[in-house]
Amino acid sequence: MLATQQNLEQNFSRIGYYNEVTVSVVLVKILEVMFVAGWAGSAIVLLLTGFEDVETLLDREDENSH
Amino acid sequence: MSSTSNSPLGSNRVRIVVATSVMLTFISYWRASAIILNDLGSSAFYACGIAEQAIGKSAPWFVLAVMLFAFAVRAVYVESCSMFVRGGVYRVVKEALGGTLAKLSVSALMFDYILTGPVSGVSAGQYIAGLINDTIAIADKHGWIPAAIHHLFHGTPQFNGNTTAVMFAVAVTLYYWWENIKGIEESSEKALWVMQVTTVMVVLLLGWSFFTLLKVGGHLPPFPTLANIHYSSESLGFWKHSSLPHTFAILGLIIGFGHSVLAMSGEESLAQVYRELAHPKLKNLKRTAIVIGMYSFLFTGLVSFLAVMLIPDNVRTQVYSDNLIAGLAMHMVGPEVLRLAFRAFVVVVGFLILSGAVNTAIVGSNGVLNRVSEDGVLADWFRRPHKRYGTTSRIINLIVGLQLFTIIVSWGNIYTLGEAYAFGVVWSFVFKTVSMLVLRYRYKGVRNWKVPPNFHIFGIEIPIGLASIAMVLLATAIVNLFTKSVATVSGIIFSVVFFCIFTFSEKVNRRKHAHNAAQMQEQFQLQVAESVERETVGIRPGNVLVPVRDYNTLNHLRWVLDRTDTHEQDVVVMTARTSQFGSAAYGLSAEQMFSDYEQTLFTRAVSIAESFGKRVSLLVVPARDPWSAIVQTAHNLESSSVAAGLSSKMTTAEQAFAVGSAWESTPEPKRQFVLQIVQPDGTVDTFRIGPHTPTMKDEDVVLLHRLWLNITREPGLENVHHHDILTEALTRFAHDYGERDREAIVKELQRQAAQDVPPAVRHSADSIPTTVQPAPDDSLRDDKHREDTPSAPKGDGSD
Repeated sequence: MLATQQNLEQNFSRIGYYNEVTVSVVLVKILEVMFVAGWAGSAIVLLLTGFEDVETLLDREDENSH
Repeated sequence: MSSTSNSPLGSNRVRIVVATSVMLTFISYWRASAIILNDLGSSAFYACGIAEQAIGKSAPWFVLAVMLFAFAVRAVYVESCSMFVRGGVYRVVKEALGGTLAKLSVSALMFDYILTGPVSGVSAGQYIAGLINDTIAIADKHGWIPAAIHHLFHGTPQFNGNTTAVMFAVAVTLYYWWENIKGIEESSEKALWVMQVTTVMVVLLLGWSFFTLLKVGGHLPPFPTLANIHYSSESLGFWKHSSLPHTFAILGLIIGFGHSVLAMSGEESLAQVYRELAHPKLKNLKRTAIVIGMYSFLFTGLVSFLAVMLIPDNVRTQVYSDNLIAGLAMHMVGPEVLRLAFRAFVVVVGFLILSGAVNTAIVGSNGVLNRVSEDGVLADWFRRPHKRYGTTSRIINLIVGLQLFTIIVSWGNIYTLGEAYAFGVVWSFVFKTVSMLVLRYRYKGVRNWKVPPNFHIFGIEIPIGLASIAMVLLATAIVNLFTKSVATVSGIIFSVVFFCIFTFSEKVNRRKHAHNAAQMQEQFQLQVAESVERETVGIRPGNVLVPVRDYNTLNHLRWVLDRTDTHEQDVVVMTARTSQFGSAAYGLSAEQMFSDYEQTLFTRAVSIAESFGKRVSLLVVPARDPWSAIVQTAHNLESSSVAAGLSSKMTTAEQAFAVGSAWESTPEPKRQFVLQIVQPDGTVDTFRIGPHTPTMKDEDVVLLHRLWLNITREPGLENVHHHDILTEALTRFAHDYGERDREAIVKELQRQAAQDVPPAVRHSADSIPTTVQPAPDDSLRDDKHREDTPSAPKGDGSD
């Protein structure tokens, strides 16, 4: 009886541990998706704004030099 | 005529025109870049050192990634500025997410601003302490330290780096506290000069470093893989005992990125200078963004790499982690004296740029708190102007008090300060970017530029670029919450305390303002106008403008009213609501512009006008620079003269010079006017502002007249005017000066200048005519050709 109770407690604590690990892994995966996808999108932003920057730099019209 | 019975709108209340647009002096994109780089560029002095302490030798890769990502973040600012001229965090978050989150975002921004001061001051102190200690060590090596001193210090005398840094940071903070209490002007000229000196240092540093690399060789820092990221005991914060950072490579990258994010602090300044950028604004904003992006990428990014490549690991981490650029200077190839001299130059530049950042922190915090205070979320008590200087001294005291507290608590630990600083930086960016994302769907107004790329699916816009930037920032900010325990705890406490103060103050103010508004309505009627126009104020050309600030020194208003017939000439009493750099980024409402102080000031002015039985018009204008505001208002109102009181800080000549400088920087077309400065003893100094007809000596007038008499006797020259002779004479003079007799002319003018009288025409108040309208140069007129008179200010104020 006591052994069964101990087994149950161990199982519950293991389940709690696994739940904790699962939540952590899911959270890390969400962060990973956010960071990687975010960087991929930001790279496109850099590329597109980079082209625009070159155009802006080449366009000397209305430039104030003082 | 009672001032209360002549309201143009027929009301019993005195009408006050409140202009809501700050009068600005527009600046070029180079100057704007210099202002921002004074903040953004300063992080190069400490960012990599802090990042390396946290994550090890691969830190330069993360710093480089942050500097690259900063290009994307500045795109967010360009979009926000294309929507709102004052597109700072508070405005954007308030528009998108409402007042509560706006208060929270401002709390995070305040944490960022307040920490900018201590982190910059302490960093400058560390550079100075390092230079002093190394100089002493070198002197000792050569036996230049006397044995007695050596014995006294039990070895080579050395200053404690942290203690020296704290003392220096406290001294610099107190210096700028006093300067801000006095109300120093933010000078783009000074910022430009600092950046020019910094650029010389950066060019020398990079050139010499690359030369050293060619000579001695070097290895790139290790790539940022999980194996190469070495967390310090403090860099994992709440995850200190967790296996997560050691298990997931991506977490290591985010942690490293989060520890380096402070390298892009200062981008918020982009939104703050936008309003002051010259036309074409958006294009110039983009140019500014390119300049600051490239500069900080090259400076902060490359210096981080070079430091790791050139300074040996043990020396870099143990001696130079707090003053990395100084360490770089000492590890170049070349004679030791030359390296030490260059290091001294680095320290001087560091001192200039970092102490400038201390000032920027005070000015920026003051601007933000002024803004929220004006919006009613901070008690009016804070906004009450300093009795002597008219500055918001209580807000400045609060900011500097918090900065001094931070400096002393951290005791010169630049790592702790930097970690905490990153909290404010990253969360203010998160609030800003997420709000911009929300505004893509909620904002229906004009938007001149958008962060690319954007797609449309079933008519719904998908802002890929903006969402990507928001995701990177949010992921970094979340991970930082776990890894920066000190920053998280201190940042949350600070933000929550400020948020509670804002919320409580707002509730108290709402009740108080309702009561004040009811009281004010009994006395004054506010008429809001976007800009100052003569028609809006309801006055005639040729009026007298009387700038006022201190309600205890209104003698000049009495002087004007005593001598002006207000039936013939209008008197406009104007006060400039000084809006410092930073606060110009925010919108102002009439209630914000017209505080208790302005109410008291105008109550006194009206009372004085009533005592003379004369009518005055009242005007409040927001301005970055009060001198510029006076000049622009005089121009817009077509005033013939400006009558000011004597400043407590300046002489009359200095005041006139300040007005003259503001006049020179005002864009064309602009009007000339007469400036009269009334001193407390009744003495008046008169100055003509702008190009004007010179006062001619009697003998010159006689000479001119004789010439005219003789010339008109010549056949065919009967109709020649006096001015024709002057034109011919001046043309010949210009020709001689330009070509033939330049030296002789200069010598003669120098001789005359030595005998000349001061520029101001000083006379007692009693000798001034019955109107403050100055007498035109009648000496140049003759009855026959009155229409020939040059453009001296005329009675009707027209040119």
